[in-house]
Amino acid sequence: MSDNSRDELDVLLERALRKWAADEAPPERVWTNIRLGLHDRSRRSSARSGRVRLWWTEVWALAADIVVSGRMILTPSLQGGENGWTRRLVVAGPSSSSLRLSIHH
Amino acid sequence: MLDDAELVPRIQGGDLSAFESLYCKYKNELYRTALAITRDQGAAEELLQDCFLRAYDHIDGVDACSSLRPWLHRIIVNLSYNWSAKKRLHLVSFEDAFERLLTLPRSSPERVYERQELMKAVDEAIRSLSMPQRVVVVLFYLQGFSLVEIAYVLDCPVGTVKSRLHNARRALKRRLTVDLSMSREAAYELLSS
Repeated sequence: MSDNSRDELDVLLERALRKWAADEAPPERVWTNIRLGLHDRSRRSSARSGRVRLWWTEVWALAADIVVSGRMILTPSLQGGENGWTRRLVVAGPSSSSLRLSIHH
Repeated sequence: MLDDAELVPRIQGGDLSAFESLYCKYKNELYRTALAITRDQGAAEELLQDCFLRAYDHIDGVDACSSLRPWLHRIIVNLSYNWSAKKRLHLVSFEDAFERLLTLPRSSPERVYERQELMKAVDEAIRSLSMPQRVVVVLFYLQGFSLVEIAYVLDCPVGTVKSRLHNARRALKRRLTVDLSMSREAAYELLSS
């Protein structure tokens, strides 16, 4: 059947359905619910991005702690802490740089 | 009424008033589509709500140059299918809605009765269709979509739409011929009055 070949049945169905639906309209509460839904989504979305920011803050803080701790443990003390060490790790440079292996005799 | 091409970029930019304009533009026809498919006012409201929330979520992927009408219908028809699958197509009759139509004061008692019989027959006939056939009938007769547009809405070939519509028409014709004692011409005259 093409769009153009219409007969009385088509007209009857079209008129019946359109008359039936003519006065139907959604109540106001639907838009209210949509707005609430959008608000809820944006709140959840900002909470999620807040959690991600917090997570990265924690990661960087932990990384900084590891770097600082590494310096405290592995760097020789000013009082000549190299005694007994044949080999040790020295954490050098900024926290983002890789660990460098240093061998002292 | 603003054009979709103007509304889409604004909505994509987070303009809620533009989204409200879009809602006002399409709410009635989408609601009527959902209602004609589900025949349940509560479900139609819920589907309309979900339709616009989904539309908002996916508006970034929409081509701003094209009309949103088929796209929005695609969303609400898919939601209607999901709803009917969950509900196993628990149908509520059109009769409540027809009741309002039937009680038009200008009609004489005989005319009310005849119209009532006609609308009941059409109601029964449409209700007897399968879900895919009913959806095609609603989109074609109620919303006036072309076959190509319906194929887009249903995400299926045009041939499938044609076949569903053809089978639906045949079933409706058979049903109405049996149910109606009046001719289709008389029914048409009655409805157009």
